Amino acid sequence: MNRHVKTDAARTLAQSHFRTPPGCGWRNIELLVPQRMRRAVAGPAVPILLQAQRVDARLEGVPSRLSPTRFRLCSQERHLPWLLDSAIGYEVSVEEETETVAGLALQGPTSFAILRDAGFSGVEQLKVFDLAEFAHDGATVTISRTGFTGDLGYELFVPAGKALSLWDRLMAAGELRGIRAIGYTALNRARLEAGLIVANADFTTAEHAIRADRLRMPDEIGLGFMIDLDKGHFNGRRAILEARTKKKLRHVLVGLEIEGNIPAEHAIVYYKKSQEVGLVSAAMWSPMAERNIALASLQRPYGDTIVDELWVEIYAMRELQYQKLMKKAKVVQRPFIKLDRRTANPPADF
Amino acid sequence: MTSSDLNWDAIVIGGGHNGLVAAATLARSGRAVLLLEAGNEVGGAARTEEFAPGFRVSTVAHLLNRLHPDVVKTLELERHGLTVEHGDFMPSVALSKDGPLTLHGAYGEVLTGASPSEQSAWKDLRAQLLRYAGVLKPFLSRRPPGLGGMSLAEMTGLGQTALALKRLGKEDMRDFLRVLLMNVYDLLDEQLSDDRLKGLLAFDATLGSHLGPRSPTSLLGLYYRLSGEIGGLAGAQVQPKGGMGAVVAAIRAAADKASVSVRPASPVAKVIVEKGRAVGVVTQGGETLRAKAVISAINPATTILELVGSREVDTGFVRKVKNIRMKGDAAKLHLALDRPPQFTGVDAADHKGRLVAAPSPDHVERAFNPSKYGEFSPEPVMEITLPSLADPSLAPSGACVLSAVVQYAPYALREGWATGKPRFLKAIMAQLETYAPGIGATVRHFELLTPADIEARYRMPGGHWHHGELQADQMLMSRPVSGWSGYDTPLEGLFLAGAGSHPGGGISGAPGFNAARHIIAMRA
Amino acid sequence: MRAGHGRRHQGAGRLKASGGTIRTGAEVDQVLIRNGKAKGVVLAGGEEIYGKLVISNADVKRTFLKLVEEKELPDIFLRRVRNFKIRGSSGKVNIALDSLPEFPALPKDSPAYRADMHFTDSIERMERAYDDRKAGRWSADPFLDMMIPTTLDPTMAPPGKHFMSCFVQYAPPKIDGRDWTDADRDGFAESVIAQVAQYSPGFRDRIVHMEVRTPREIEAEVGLTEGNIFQGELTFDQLLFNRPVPGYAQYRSPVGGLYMCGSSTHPGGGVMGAPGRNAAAEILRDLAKPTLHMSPAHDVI
Ligand SMILES: Cc1cc2nc3c(=O)[nH]c(=O)nc-3n(C[C@H](O)[C@H](O)[C@H](O)COP(=O)(O)OP(=O)(O)OC[C@H]3O[C@@H](n4cnc5c(N)ncnc54)[C@H](O)[C@@H]3O)c2cc1C
Ligand SMILES: Cc1cc2nc3c(=O)[nH]c(=O)nc-3n(C[C@H](O)[C@H](O)[C@H](O)COP(=O)(O)OP(=O)(O)OC[C@H]3O[C@@H](n4cnc5c(N)ncnc54)[C@H](O)[C@@H]3O)c2cc1C
Repeated sequence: MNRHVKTDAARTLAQSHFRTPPGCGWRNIELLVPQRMRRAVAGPAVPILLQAQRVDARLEGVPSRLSPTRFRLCSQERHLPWLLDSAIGYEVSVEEETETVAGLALQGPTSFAILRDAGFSGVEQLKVFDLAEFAHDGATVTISRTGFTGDLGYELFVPAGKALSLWDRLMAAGELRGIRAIGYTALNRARLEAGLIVANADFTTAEHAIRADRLRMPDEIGLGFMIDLDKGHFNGRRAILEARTKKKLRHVLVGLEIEGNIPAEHAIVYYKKSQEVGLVSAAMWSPMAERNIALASLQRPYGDTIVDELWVEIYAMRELQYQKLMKKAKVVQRPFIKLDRRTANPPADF
Repeated sequence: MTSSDLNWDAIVIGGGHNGLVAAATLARSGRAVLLLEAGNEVGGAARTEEFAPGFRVSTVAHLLNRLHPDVVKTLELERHGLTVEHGDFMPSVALSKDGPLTLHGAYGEVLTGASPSEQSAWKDLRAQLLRYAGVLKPFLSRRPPGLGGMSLAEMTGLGQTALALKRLGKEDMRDFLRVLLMNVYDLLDEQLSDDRLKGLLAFDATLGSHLGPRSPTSLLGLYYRLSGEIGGLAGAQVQPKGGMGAVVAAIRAAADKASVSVRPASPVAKVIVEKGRAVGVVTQGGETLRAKAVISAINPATTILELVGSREVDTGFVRKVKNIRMKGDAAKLHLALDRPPQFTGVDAADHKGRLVAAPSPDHVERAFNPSKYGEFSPEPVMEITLPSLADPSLAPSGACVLSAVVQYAPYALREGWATGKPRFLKAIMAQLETYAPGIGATVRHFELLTPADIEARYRMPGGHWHHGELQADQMLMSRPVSGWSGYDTPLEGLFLAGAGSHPGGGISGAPGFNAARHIIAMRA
Repeated sequence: MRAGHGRRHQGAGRLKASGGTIRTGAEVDQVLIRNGKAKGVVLAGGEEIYGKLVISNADVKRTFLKLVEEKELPDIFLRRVRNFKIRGSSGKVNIALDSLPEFPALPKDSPAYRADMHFTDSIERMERAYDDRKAGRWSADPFLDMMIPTTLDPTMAPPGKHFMSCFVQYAPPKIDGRDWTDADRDGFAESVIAQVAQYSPGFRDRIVHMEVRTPREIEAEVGLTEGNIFQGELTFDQLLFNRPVPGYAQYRSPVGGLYMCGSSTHPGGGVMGAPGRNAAAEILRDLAKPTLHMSPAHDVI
């Protein structure tokens, strides 16, 4: 895929909006923001993955801070009842705005240039995770420098009634730069190259898991680093603590680089070609990385302390015939691709 | 040195009978125990109080039928003043316009006032009910079976239950499993024909819960009642001399003997949590008291949502606690009467018994219906006692005390209790008048406690008998909430020990005793 | 499903194709039992039909309290069959309409016209409807499960006409302890019409014909004792190993060669076929015949 500018509306499936008085410290926001993001909290916008705060990753989503007391949570699924119950005992009001606010992601190398050409002056000031409001069609559009592609990119939020005119404005401004709408398949490739994980694809959330042993702890999906146990109580704290002390963490999510160029989607991972130790949840040949990459969930200690002798069994179907391949896999760092332009300041003009 | 400087081994919140039992049991294991009670007196809903000049009554619980034998024995309550003699067993009288029917001895060892065929049907049914309640009885003194990671002791306990089931014999075991979750109405219909007897049993099965006889699983209430014993006899009931306060006085004496520090008038405002662990409490007066373990013998929802606060526990747990159903339907009526009333057809001895006005299961069901819609029963059902007949010290000479539990009086009355209460009182008095004509004219004073009054006065949320409905979904491993049924809480060092925990309410001491034994076993 | 429940006829076809014979209008009066073993049946007309096995699709009460003599059954089994609860609670009102009713609450041409409709807007209304049933009356304000099947399959009525199917709760098996009368039946129907008319102005004028089935008619026409739609209540005490009665939850009976296969048995009622399928498997097992030709219900992974 050539990493081109793209718009993607699929990310903002559900949104909630909440208000908290200053210093309220609602369980899912300030208290839970990991230490290394503290600085950002004090700033204008804080998108963090909430998965880390929920032991069972029930509440996935990305919150952003619209003002000192107002937050927006964008998540894959609707969580209003859970948020409301989480608000008991706090001075927090929660509103569902899935239907009233439209979200749009503008991602890719030319995204900044398009916004600028569309007349959003000041957008060049936005550093990664920053957010600001701009005028649009008699209303306000909130633009944050965020995204789910690992690339330079922005996310835009407008009242639903202004979605069409915003779309037209961007399409017109981006025509010469080859702007185009993309769907989930393209987004999925971009996020995989960026090493980002997706709920109910790379791990099963508590809401969806029918079998109690299919949930994942944050430590099991590579988000353990976001947990700060010294910060008072948060949902799942005791369970995480218990799992760590009782060594109940059974899985680990890793990035794999696989020999050859055949994508290993949903392949079984073996140790020494014979013992089943896990499965690939997402895979592709990455044209940018020029590597055959994958995300896999493995059973510890494989992928954790034992990283040698891992193999994947790929069933590649060609002309209605399966070709079975056994390929060597290597545990590698994520992201598979790191694009400097994502964070470059000022953003580059392509 | 003030007590704040002391480091207690255990602080017990709430001086109801369960709090006292827990405190006394813990103190006997050598722990330094402080008990904090909000009210000016200990006892909670088990108290004897003056409700009119010269008239005293057991103001909430008035009949003793399930004080657990392990509690009596371990705390040596008999040495501390508790007396239960065989002669004290009270009959239960089913009042009816067709004349009364009486269950004598321990829940009707002898039945009078019924036809010979009904007597023999009752004999069979009584034996069956006691047998089946007996299978469940051992659960009263154990932690509920856990779902994950059972200890050896728990496994053994379950094994014993399986054995008890086997001992029933094949056919009896099959019937046990068939009827377990039935409604009491249908079961009675299968085996009995006398409406008075059926009405009494339907009343007992639903007493203290938001169920009618025809509600699914209502039979469990009757098993719960019959799993209790007093004076060594299952199903028996007594009126303690001096009222329920005398039972609490015996437990209090045992606590004193074990050097429990009891502090009345000390409501706890907050449980102190540090790093996920309960380390003490703050009283409403602002005093901070620290301890190795905090044992809450008050309502579980109050404990978690108010004293601990939802911030210290997970949303899922908050959700479960918030969903515990506990809106009471039982009201309490106290009358100061000029003279003992005369219930039609009831002989002198039976006047000292428990008089139940629930003439048929359909009547009980009809009384229940309005409570679903926030209305009180126009023809309430009730359990009446005249405690001063057996214990003249409770009333001025010649006068009489009437104590009655009346259903159904929904906690959240739609019209509000301000206007509802006088109307409800009228409905109750109209019923009383039909069974004891002329009683209304002898009323010198009255006190009617609705569930809302009971909540305010005794700090029982919803005014609920069991501190949480005792129904299939809130029993055993689901009491108070699923996953946390063994007196532990998600907070290390914080335990629950009141009626809201397994096995449930009533003057049994079982939750307090089981909790204390668990804490001792854990060395907490 | 276009063919409605008539699709069952396909099953009948298959039965014939595999060598079975179906006789209608053949009411069984008695199961023939010799030395504790079923030998066949006697029809109402007196005709005797012999067979190695007798499998009853009638409900458990009808089968063992009417078709089998008491002396053939152990007391404890009889007691349990008598205690089996099969009290009806529902009725049916089928209405022929000369035009499609209107529901002003729905947008014009709403797909909801083809849907399963309910008029009950609170749990309290349902509960009060049940209070009437407990008191031995039909519900004054019933809850309806209403459909207009002709919106999906116009062939079920003459062109332009419609058919409305109303499933109604609650209707007790007896009214105030006595049998239903025609006047009761009409009162029951009126409670349904009144409710629909409340939401659909002019509804009464569209009615061409009406067929009303109270538990009395259901029992008389379909042979469901007390009109219970599931051949026995689906409460805890009558589920799983307790269905229909403890000790006989596996389609066998105390009489050798006499089996049960109706909805009185596990897992219960509804147009589902599971009791019959399970019964067949047990019978084949008793005959030591293979069951491989029976497809599994589904894989569980
Ligand atoms: C109308 C009615 C009639 C009943 N009749 C009978 C009967 O006849 N027989 C029978 O066996 N049972 C009866 N019961 C049930 C029985 O009364 C209760 O189940 C039982 O008393 C519960 O005991 P407990 O110790 O668990 O709780 P409680 O008795 O409620 O004790 C809790 C104590 O904690 C104290 N407390 C609360 N909050 C705080 C705080 N923040 N800080 C400090 N202290 C606090 C309260 O003041 C109270 O003293 C009846 C109940 C009702 C409502
Ligand atoms: C009003 C109503 C609405 C319903 N709606 C639905 C619905 O929408 N969806 C759904 O899934 N289920 C519904 N049901 C339930 C469903 O119809 C039944 O549970 C199911 O049909 C039972 O099937 P069965 O084969 O076990 O018994 P039945 O269908 O009762 O079959 C028993 C057969 O045995 C025959 N029989 C009885 N006695 C004798 C005898 N002595 N001799 C010979 N033959 C005899 C009867 O005539 C009958 O044909 C409804 C039922 C009713 C009454």
